[in-house]
Amino acid sequence: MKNYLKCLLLLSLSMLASFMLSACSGEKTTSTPQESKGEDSLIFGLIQEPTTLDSLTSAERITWLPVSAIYDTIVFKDDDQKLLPGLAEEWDISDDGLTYTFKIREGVKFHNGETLTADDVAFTIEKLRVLQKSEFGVISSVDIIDDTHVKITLESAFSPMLYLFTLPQTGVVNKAAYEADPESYGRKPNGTGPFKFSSWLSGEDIVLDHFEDYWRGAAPMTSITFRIIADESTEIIALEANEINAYIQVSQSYRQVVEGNEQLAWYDTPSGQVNTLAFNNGNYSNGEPSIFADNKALRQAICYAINKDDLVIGAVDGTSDPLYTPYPEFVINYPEEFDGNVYNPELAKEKLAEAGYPDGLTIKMRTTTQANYSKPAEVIMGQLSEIGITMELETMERGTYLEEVYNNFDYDMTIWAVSCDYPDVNHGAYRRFYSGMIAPANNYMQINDPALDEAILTNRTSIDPAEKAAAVLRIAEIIRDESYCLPLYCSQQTLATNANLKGVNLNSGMGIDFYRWSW
Amino acid sequence: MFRYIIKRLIYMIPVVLGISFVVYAIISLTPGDPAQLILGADTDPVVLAAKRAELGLNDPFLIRYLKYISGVLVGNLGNSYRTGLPVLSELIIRLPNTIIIALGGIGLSVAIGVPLGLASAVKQYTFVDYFARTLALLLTAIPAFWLGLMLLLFFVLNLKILPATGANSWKNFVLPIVTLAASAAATQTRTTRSSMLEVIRQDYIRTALAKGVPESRIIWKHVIRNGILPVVTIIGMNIGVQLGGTVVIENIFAIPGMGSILVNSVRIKDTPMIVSSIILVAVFIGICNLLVDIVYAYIDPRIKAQYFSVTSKRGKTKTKTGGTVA
Repeated sequence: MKNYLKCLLLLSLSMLASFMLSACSGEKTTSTPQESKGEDSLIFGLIQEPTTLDSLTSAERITWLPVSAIYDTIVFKDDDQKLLPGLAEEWDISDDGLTYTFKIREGVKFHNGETLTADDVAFTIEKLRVLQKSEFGVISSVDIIDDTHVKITLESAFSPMLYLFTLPQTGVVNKAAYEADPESYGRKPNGTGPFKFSSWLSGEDIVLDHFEDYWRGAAPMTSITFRIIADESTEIIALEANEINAYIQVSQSYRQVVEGNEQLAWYDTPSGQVNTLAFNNGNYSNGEPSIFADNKALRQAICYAINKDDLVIGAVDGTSDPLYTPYPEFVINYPEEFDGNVYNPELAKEKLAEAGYPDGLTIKMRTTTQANYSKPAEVIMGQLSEIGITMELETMERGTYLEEVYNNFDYDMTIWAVSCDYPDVNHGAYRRFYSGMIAPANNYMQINDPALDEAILTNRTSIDPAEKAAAVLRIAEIIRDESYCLPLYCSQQTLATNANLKGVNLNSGMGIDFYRWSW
Repeated sequence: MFRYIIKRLIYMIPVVLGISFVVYAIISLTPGDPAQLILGADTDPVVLAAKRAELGLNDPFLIRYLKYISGVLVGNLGNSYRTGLPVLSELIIRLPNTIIIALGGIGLSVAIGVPLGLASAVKQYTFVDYFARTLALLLTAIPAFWLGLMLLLFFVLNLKILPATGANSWKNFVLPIVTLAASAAATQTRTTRSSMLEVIRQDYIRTALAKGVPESRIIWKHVIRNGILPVVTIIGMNIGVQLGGTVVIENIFAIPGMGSILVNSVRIKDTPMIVSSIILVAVFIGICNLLVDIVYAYIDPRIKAQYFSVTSKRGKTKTKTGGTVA
């Protein structure tokens, strides 16, 4: 036995020593040479493989990274979310806000050599009306005036229209190629962007080469390789070993690793995703009402029981600030002095009694297994127990969650995000709070409030700035007073890159302008 | 013997068909919409409905299964829901990577485990024995993903002699194979040791020693040949386990193999890809088990005799698919 123990000790010590050495050793000053196509290439790590490179049908955020390199949009925006001319040199908006006329830039080439014309732009917008109806359904007709002018007519004034045209999923496609073979456009995309598609080795790499005839001049980066690495720890190791040069959506737990390494740089910005505690304000799929339907006091009780300062520490290590409005702070007309509901456990208990549950109750929360939704859920479970509510947390696999909660509304409480990818509350508010959007995957909270609807429509259609500002404030007030949902915090968009990269930019909504990146 | 092999191969067919039906049923009848999972949660309903029609998801489950399996029987494994490309072409690229890792892992574990187990048995209660048993204990306890990440940190970041990701050169496979072999080697060591010990205690070994036969001859001619049978059994069983282990390994080392595509396809319910991968894996395991059973015949003449008598009408000695001979 003595021998046995001696051996065990010896082996364990030697293993421990070698692993500790590897973990604690300082950084080397020279990095391994880049195994790629040359010094001016970029290798970008992706945690998931994109499903398509067709801008019009791309709905997953990770897909927008290569898509924003391959296509140009009609309107560009700068880092401060200001609108800039894109494929449209200039535009004219009619006084009633119903007609937009775009002058299309001349001499722009597609990757396959064809020239961009108004035809391609009009075709793209027509496709958007069908394929992305929830946003572009407001366009009632698209007209080609001449080779360089396209006119769109809206069914009602829609102030965020130009912002919509800056999103990566509105990249302009080539009409001839798309009509000839729409199915394979996703595997062999053709755009006017700074990088053209080179190859896609399924499960491994997507390679883009820079487009020599790009209208703004060839990009400094000669090629971009999107490498798919499914495990986050491996991504970080690959980043440190200079096998990849950049990685997006880095967990906050790696922040210290990245910032502590002088060869790496950390970037972050508020994303447009507002993590929200959502209540089912309507019925389940079998017609029975959820416990929160018509029970404002119960919803309020829960809202007053949440301590957001503690929540952000527990959920995201304090890297975001608590949010009291159901939209992010970068939207236009953001009400600076808004008074949200603050943590008030006594009031919470009062409301609970008023709701008919003086002795507490058990509520079930359903979330996915993703950490950014399940972690806040765990914190909330603890906070609710302090006012006598027992919360049962059911974490579900994504497919089941989407079908049961997102599509069928079979839930009482859940945590999800209300996204706002451009600086107008319309994006999140219309889709998630408007009664006309109660449908699978849209207004899943089943919010049906005429006053709220009016405020949302006013913001959407009004061209009077004062009216719009008042509407934006109303939206936050109604959500606060009726407690249809509780905004928690705005998550951060994070990016880790090799420190030698210049021109790195990052904005909310996974938008990256690779044209400006260089070594 | 040839007849035996053919019979085994024929028996594999209903097994594989049964597996494919069960898996197809599980994927199709559980909640989750492939179209929404593939295109994105927030995709427009019009686009989703079009995709569902395109993938044939509106047909009843049995129709879809029959369409799929009739394709498989002529060699067409269907098209992936995610990419629309033929499943076979995708799997052909990935299968070799997984097989390299799995077979490499088994090979390395046998190369380390069997000699170590043998030495441990022959030199029982000496330093070699304690060392082997301790190592086996440690390797069994250490989970594969932790070991993989530690090896990555050490060899990639510190020593800088191996790449972290990809599958282009032999260097990429060193760490995955070592990680996979680690826990398998532990099992091999222990099984070999206990099996060899049992043989060593037999009377005929004692007789041989008494006769004056040199120890090395005893070990090679008697101990190994008699003790190797359970070890071969364990190797055969391990193949299935290793293939499962490659899933974790492939994710950590970013190697495009069958394991990683299987996991990704399950997440998005890409049914043709899932069922085809599982069919391939089942066939591979079936063939490996068959090879192991053939190896038995060459080690043990008694078993060889059993195989040759398969065609005779001797009731209980008929071998059944996948089972070891009693």
